Amino acid sequence: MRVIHHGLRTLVVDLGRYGLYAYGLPPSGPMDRFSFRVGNILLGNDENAPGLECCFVGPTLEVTEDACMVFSGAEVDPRINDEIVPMWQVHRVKPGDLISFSCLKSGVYFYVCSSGGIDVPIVHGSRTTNLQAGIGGYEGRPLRDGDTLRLFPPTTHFSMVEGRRLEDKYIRKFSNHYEVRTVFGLSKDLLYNLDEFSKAIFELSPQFGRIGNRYYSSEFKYRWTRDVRNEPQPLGAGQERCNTPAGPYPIGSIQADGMNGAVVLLQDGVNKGCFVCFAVVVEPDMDIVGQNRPRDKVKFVSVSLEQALSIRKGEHIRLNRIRESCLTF
Amino acid sequence: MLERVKSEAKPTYTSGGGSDLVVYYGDQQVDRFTFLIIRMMREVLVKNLREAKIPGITEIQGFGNTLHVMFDPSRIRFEDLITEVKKIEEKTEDPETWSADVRLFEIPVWFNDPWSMECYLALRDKHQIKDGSRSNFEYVAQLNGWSNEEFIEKVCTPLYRGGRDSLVWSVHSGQMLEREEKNIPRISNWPQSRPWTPPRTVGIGAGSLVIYPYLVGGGFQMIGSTPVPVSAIELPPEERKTAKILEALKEMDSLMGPRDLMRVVSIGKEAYEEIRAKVVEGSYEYKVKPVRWETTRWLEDPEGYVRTFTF
Repeated sequence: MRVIHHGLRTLVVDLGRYGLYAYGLPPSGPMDRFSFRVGNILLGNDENAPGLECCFVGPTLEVTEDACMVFSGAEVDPRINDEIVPMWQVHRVKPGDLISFSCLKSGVYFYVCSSGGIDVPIVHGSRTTNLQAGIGGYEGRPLRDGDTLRLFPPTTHFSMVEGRRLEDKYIRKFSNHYEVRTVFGLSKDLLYNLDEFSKAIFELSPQFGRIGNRYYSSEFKYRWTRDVRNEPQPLGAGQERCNTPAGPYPIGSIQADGMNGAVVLLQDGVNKGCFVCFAVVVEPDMDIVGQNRPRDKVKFVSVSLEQALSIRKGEHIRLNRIRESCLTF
Repeated sequence: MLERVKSEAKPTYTSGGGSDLVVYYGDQQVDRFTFLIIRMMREVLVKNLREAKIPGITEIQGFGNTLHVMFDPSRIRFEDLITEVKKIEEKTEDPETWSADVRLFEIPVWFNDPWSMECYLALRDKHQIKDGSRSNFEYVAQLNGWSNEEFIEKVCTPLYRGGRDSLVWSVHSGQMLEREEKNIPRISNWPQSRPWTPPRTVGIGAGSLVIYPYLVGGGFQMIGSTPVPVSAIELPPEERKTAKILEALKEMDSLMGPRDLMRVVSIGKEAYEEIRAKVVEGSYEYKVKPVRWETTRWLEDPEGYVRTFTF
């Protein structure tokens, strides 16, 4: 493919980079992992095959080799040679075809998965872009006009996949009100009104992105057990009650910030910090958080650890059903 | 001493989201020396956990008195993971047996530099002091009732331990090996993290120093700038001329490793510009020497032992 116009921010991503979080390299990878995976499953690719993650405004691409493509994720109108084509379906493309996008209706991130996946080098165990460190993907940066991308050879014959479509019941639905399931833990004992947190409606602020999303609520204010017990801040912590000595941040963790906000750490998140971390979003719901837009309303609903594991299992089963539906002999 | 610390470092196991185990060793309300020892014990535990290669674990990291393990719950149950971690805890040797050949670096810093002030002014809506009346350096000094010179002395006197084991790839952070709590600055981080920090900015947290080597977000108060590159990431083309600098930065793109030691020395504008010119020209040589760290000696005489690490 050749990039005619790069869109707002288009990155090469795969499912992520693991084993180096301790050294400040987070997983990175797609903000909506389900949509990315399904794109590759439909194509008969390895699910980790690199694809493009587009943000708000999609790129314009000129196809330079025979390929199949799937467009998945946020609701948008993909176009091949200016003709709108359905999302979540395999399309055959040939050299000279122009891919473009219009009318993002909901969500933020959408994906262009191509047969074989995009041929970029492996850096520290993955081909995904890490923007902060400027490594991986295409030269460690978003795509620019004029960039040329090559594809790996396809792993499934085009005749097996062309026209394949995801069943409607599996297609992600978007709205602007969401419930995000979370498990309270970590430093939750520093707060004594977590039940209120679970009931409050939060709104995503304009401060959002691949590192994290910042939410505010007019209905909720943090109440600290240290204030009740009249305790000073521990040594090593900052002076605000939301500060703590430096501790780890799981991906998906929720931190209290100094302005009564809740920050959810996302795929490019930092591995530690000094803000109280009191909950973690259940992994499948990270896709919902990743697709939130400013002013979307979110309720962080508390679930138990057992329920969280059941939700994860449900997601595995859903993906397995999709994989099965793509098996053709 | 170690037995007392172990009795204070009782672990609490907590979960996050179904795929994270976070263990807190001891209460947060411990004295500084105990905190540093617990930290070293935790470091040895992380090393042993990595070597054990327990199936299902995807990430292992530790900060301060916490251990964080990310795992795949379809490959290991949470309860079984705790059992495995406890087995490693029981077998983990005391940090007093830990000695290592490390390196001692000297990092020059221009305190209260103009770029930190520029960044603060651009982003002050996220800071405690929004009127732009003083730099982060002055804010921290005044918060602690110190003059600027006293503050510089407080930062330059301690030995720091730890290199790139930090929050973003190749960002360096060092723990102050300072026992006296009165010498550790009281700090508030920025209430909202900055989206960017000028390259080579030196930031201060409570008991630690951070060097932001490139344009990356952060929340520590910015107190100075170092003229020397500590990371190969986003190294400007003019700084890539010398094989010496690239060689020094080749291990995980970073100057210092997680157990290296650091001294900070205060320089002025002229010295800063002189060093920058040498870096760009290619003639700059890092001030570094190999040393041996012995935890036993540090436990016996914390103040005296760190004073032996000089150039």
